Amino acid sequence: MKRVSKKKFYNRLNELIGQYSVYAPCGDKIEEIKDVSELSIDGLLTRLPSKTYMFPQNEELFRWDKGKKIEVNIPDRKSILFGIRPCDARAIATFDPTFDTEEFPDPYFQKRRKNTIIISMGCNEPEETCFCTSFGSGPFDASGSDLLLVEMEKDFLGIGREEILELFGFEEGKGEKDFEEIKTQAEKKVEKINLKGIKEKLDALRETNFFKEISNKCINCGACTFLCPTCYCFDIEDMERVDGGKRMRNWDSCMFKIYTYETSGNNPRRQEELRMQQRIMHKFNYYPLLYDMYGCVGCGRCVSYCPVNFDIREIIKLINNAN
Amino acid sequence: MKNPYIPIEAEVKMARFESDDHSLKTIDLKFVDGDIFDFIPGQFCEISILGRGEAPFGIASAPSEDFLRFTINKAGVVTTGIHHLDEGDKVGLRGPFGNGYPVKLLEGKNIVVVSGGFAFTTLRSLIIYLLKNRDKYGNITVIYGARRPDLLLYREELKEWEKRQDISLFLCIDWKFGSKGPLEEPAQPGWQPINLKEPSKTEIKKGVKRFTAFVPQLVSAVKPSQKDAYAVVCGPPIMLKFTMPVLREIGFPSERIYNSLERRMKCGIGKCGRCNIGSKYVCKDGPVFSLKELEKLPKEY
Repeated sequence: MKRVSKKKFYNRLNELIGQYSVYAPCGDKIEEIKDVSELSIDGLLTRLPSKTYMFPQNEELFRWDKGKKIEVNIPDRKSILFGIRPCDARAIATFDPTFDTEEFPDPYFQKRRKNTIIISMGCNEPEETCFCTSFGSGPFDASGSDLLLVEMEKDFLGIGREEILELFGFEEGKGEKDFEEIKTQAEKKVEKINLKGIKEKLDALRETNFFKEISNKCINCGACTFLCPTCYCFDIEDMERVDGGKRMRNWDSCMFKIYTYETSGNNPRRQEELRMQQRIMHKFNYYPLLYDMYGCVGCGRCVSYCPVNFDIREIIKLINNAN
Repeated sequence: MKNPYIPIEAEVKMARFESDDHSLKTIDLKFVDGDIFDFIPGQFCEISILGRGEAPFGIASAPSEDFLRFTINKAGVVTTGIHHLDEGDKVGLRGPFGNGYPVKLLEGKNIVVVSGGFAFTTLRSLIIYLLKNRDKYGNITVIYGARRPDLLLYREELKEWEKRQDISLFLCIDWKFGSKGPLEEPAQPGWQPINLKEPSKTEIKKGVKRFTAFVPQLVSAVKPSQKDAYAVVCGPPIMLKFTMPVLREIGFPSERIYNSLERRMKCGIGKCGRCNIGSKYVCKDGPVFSLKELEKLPKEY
């Protein structure tokens, strides 16, 4: 197994800060760091998900000057996204089929995606809201990362692309056995929910009262969608002053009534239950149907931060039982 | 890489109000640099007014015309901005987006076009396309209604089409100042009333093309044959709701009824997430769907 001492790794990361923009967890969000001493990766998940980096909450599409001449600035800098968790790394991959399409590629997302090395950190101590194993993934799933680190006492074990391992000076060493042990222990702590046939089960629930019942306590605050690492819905708005303006892309949420509200007054999803149906269906029915993947990675943020304790795991269980 | 979010600059070549109350405005656009893109009738564009935003509008001109026409109802921030435009002003344009009407599938078939209000825009595009390629298509019947005569779009062209032998045009209006409820008398001189209780029993005299009725009633009265025919429908939700049963009664199967839908949209390219009906995006997979496709989707439209 590839192995490197933590000290050597962090020194190397510090060296790379000039060559790359390095983004890493700082408290409850992901920010650019200028020195590894700014890092704080003690907590498991940052409150704000990885999409804050890959798909910022407010992003400039283009700007114009007084004469309405349009100028496009797409940041083009090699970056390292360090220290996010495997679920957040996999969440970035769920954006690909929507934003990386042949017909209409999204240059803002694509450029950042291509320029970024994703280094995730396995979860030795998963939280009780985690349910990543339900998706065939786990606390040490390297599938969304260029490099996955496994934290040992003094060393990191590395799983990932050869050139990235080389970049950080990983060397051949022991550790398979320890890794298996850590992995098994961690996976035991994660709740595994049965998702078998959920797509078909949801199809059957479509014209029933199910969503009305589950949406009763929801207050439509949208926290679940803003903190969800896979939710990508956005709004496009203009900001203008006398000397020019910007067209911005801002996060939006399917939980908001105004999201689908048409100027004519018609609103196809005016009832709460239709919006709830949209959110659940998009993640567990439409996404599997269209792209053969779930629109959920089991990070548990929507469970932790919902002000009315709406628990998606319980909803999945209800869906399983409703049939 | 082509950036699908950047509007291309276009100039307003013609701007005029379409209705007497100035609620509808028609603008013709041309790109400042380069020719107009190729498109299929039924596709739409995003029109941008920098500082106000952008909104989707169906293309009302045909691919054979050398301008892009849009007719816009004044309703919100962007549409008000468009209403302020004059000849020579610049706008931004993105498109064409969406699938458009199935013009290839319609070849060799009879076509029944049903429309209400200012949803007629993309159908003007379709009708001009059909007339341009007249020998490829069978009979063309157009049933089009609005509340008042001045709310019927493109009246000069409608007058021309009324005179043509290779297209049957039926128009209707349903509103008269001071009237309450359905009208049993002409709403305006020259607009024949129809049998309201049993519209299908109305006898339509040859040459009479203007009626006082709602669109579904007129469809029922005209009774266009479903034989070898496709129906293309675009209108407000309430019109669609009452027109579908009439078409079904005449015998149109759901796979031969095509609908053009509207949704709130931002990106127009299947990313921003709001225009979906089930797993289909109206902007990318639509806006034109057959009734058969819609029946498979959740009832969110």
